[in-house]
Amino acid sequence: MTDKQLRDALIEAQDYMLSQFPKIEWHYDFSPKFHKKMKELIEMNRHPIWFRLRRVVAVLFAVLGISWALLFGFNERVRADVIRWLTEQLTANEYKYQNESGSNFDISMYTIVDEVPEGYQLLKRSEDENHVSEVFRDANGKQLIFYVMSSTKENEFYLMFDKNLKSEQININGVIADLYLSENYDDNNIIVWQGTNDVLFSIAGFMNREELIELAEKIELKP
Amino acid sequence: MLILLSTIDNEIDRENMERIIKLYADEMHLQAVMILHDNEDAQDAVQNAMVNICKHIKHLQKPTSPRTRCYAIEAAKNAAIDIYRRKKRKWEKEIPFDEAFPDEDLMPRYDGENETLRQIFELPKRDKDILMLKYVYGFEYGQIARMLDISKEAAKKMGQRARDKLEKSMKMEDPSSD
Repeated sequence: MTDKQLRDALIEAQDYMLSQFPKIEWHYDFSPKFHKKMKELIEMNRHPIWFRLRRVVAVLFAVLGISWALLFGFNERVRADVIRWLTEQLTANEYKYQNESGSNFDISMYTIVDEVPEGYQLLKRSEDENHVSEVFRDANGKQLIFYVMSSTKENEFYLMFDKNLKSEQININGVIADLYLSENYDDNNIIVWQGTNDVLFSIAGFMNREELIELAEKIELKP
Repeated sequence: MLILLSTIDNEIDRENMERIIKLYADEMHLQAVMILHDNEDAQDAVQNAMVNICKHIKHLQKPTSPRTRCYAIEAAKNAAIDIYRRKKRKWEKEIPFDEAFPDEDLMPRYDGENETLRQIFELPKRDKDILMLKYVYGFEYGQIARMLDISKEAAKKMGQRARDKLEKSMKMEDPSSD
């Protein structure tokens, strides 16, 4: 039997099989998952090298991801470094409050501000022995927030600001204050300083630099 | 130039693959349903079969050829049988497997007069597949071995044994051929 004879016989067998295949109308609505897989197969034929490269890159990423997760999970130092780096990226500006005298100055009975810019109404005041906050709002819904803190149990407190805020040091009634200015007109500007008895003052509002400084200079705690 | 040729080649393969899916997906599904009796499982079988076709698309003739149609249907059948066997093993673990799905039902039968065809249809499925892949589609034994997950030597031996058996039957049918 030659190869050709064998091939012919096999082809005849195939034709017989095809003739026996049911001649019925059959249509099946394949699922979207199936169609997606078929699309991938066609793409694989269109760009076989790119497809393989993509797979290699995906595997590399998976290996790197797993290695990084293991390192992050089991190595405390790496974890601390990563968290510090992320914090720096997200919050470039920070104001660290430290109550060096350790005094616990009760400010709950004090009023922060006598006079606010025209158009602002007091919306809410909250207080306890260490904190007082007063929130004002104007007719456009823009808020002006005063926050005063005397100390915390830990004697330390961090205020984090958006990294897009530009910081600048200025003088408020003889003490150094940090001014954080937004480049975006729609964002708050913030000023923070520590006054007598290590009391921390901060004002956040939709005001320009000069207005904010002027307001800060007027602030004093009044019983 | 090589890149250009490769691009043309890939474009043809892509078009062929698209046409095979369009032309035969339903028939392949029907073939798989006949074995698995379940639309979802049959869809999985078609998907696996398409992956197989995609790997060997260069060996196939044009999509409309009966040989390609047969390859596609056989690929679906093989994929369905794989799924069927996996399920059968699982069923057998849970409940005794009865005669609801005897293996013979999965194989086509030949009722004609041609002794050679009868012998071809009586070959074990794997032997028949090897002969088809070797002599109809022109695969090398090494490729066939990879496709069937057996050694090259085993594929060669099975192919040769099946061929010998056919030759013997053809001689019996036509003694004058000596």
